[in-house]
Amino acid sequence: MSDNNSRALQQETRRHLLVFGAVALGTILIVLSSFAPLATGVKIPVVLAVAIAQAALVTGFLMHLITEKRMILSSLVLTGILFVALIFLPILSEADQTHHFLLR
Amino acid sequence: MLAAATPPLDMEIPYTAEARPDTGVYNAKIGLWLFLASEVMLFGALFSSYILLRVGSTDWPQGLLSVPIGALNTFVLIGSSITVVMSWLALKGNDFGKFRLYMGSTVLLALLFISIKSFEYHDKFTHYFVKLKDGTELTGHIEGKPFNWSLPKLKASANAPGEIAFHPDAPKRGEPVPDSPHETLRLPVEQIAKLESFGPWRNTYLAIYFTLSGLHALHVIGGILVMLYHWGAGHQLWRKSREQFTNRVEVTGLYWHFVELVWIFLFPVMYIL
Repeated sequence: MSDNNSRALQQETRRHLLVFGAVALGTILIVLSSFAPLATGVKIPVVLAVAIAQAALVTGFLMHLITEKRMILSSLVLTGILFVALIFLPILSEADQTHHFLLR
Repeated sequence: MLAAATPPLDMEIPYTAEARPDTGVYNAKIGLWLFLASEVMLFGALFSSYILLRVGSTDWPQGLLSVPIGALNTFVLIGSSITVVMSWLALKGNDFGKFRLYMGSTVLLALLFISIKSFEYHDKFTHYFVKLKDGTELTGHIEGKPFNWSLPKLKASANAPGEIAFHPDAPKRGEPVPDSPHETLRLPVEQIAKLESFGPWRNTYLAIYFTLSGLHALHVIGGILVMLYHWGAGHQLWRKSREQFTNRVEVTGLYWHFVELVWIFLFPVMYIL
C-alpha cells in the first residue's frame, strides 16, 4: 500500500470519527430538548431540524453521497420528491387539524 | 431446449468488482441504492400514517417510553455505523484482521441494540392497565411481572388467583399524589372489568410504535445475518476476489447506515415528541 493511499485512509477514518461525534452530539441535543419546557409548535421543528442535520451527515459522509455518481443521485432525487409528497400530502389534507395540533 | 437455457457453470456475473461503463458504478451498488429507495417509501408511508394518526388524535400518550434507554440504543446504533464503515476502510487498506475486528464489533453492537429493544418490549408486555367495575382506572405492574395477561386468560388459568397484587405507577407531573404512593393494592379478580398489557392493542400510539420499531428491528436482524455471513463463511471470497468482497462489505455498510438513518427519526418521533 502506497503512502498516499495510507494517508487518504487515515484522513477518511478521521472524518468518520468527526461525523460520529457530530451525530452523537445531535442525539444529546434531542434528549436535552425533551426536558426543555417548549411548546409543541416549537419542539417539533427544533427536534426535526437536529434529526435532519444528523441524517445529512450520515448520508453525506458515511454513505458517501457527496461524492456519489450522478446515476445514483438522480434516482435518489426522484425518491426524495416522492417522499416529501408522501409526508406532506396527509399534513395538507388535515391542515386545519395540524394548525390546532401545533398550537397545543 | 432446456439444456440450451441453462447457463454454463463457469459463467461470470459481470460488473461485480469493476464499474459498469454506462452507470459508472458496480451493479450491486446501484441495486442496493434502488432497494434503499423502495425502503424509503416503505418507512415513509408508515411515518406518514403516524403523522395522520397523531394530528387527528385528541389525546396522545406521553412518557410511555424511557428516553435514557432510547438514547442509549441510539448511541449503540451510531457506534455500529462507525464500526461498519471502519471494517470497509480496513479492507481498502488490505488489513483483513482489522476488518474482522470491526465487523465483529458491529455485529455485537447490533445484538446489544436488539437486546435493549427486547427489554423495552418485555417491559411493555408486563405493564398493565386495569379498570375496576366501580370505574377506577389504574396503570402499573402485577406482582411477579406476568407476561401479557388479560382478564379472560386470567380467569381461564388452572390456578386462577382470587386477587392480584398490583403496584400502581408513580403519579406523573401535575397529577395528585396519593396518600401512600408505594402501597401494593390487592385487587379481587371479580372486581376487575378490564385488564390488558401495554401491547399494540392498548392504543393508537402503541400500535404505530410496535409497527415502526418492529419493522426496524426486523431490518436490524436482517443486517446481523448478512454481517455474520461476511464475518464467517462469506470471507472466503476475500481470497478469490478482494475487490468483489470489499464491494459486498460496502453495500452491506450502506444498508446498515440506512437502518441507522431510520432510527435517527424513529427515536425523536417515538420517545421525545
